Amino acid sequence: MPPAAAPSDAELILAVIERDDRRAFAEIVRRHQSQVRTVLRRLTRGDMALADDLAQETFILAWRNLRHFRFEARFSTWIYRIAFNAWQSEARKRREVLLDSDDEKPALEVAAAEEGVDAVSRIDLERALSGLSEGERASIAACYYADLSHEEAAEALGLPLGTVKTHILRAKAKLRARLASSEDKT
Amino acid sequence: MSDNRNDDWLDRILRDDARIALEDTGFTERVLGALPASYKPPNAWMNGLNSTK
Repeated sequence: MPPAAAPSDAELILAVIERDDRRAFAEIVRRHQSQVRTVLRRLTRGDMALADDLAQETFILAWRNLRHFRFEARFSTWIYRIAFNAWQSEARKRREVLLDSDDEKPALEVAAAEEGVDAVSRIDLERALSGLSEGERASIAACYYADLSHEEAAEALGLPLGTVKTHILRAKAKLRARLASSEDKT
Repeated sequence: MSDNRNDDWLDRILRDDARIALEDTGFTERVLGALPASYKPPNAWMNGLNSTK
């Protein structure tokens, strides 16, 4: 007998909604934790502890609000929107975040490389990303790490579409320059 | 190098970085341990997330 196909996200969500099935929710978390935590690590400039706290908050908010999930949307798109809001909410507690501003903030200490990844290039990339403005970093995280379209990113971040496109263009110009200069030094 | 080739190079670096899988290392268990006992009303800002798509 062929092995049973893994349940879809939609089937798992229904199990949670109809039966408060926590094992089904655990499977949802296991499926999406890596990407959500990675996006939040990029948003928090490599602050892994803060990123994991926000990821935990994201999944708890998702669980509380699963009844409101609309099944025509991708679950991943929905949960990234929660993650971006959790990050913005946390950032506002510390200071006002202006996603459409161009200011650059000093980078935090970058995290060590993950196993199996070229350590130098990973750290160079983390440094380059952490030097972007809040809006530029959020736009890159949304479009590359969360794999959202520009339109989805604009909606998730609460920014005009043109602003997201501008942030992406500027961010990529900065990243190209910084990564090229890192390569020159090696 | 042209802008397009520069973009290909940078896009590949970003997408490769995004594809790196993080081990769960107890994360899922921590989330389950922190779940409230029962559903609560959504946060106010969540309402905006549910109105589209």
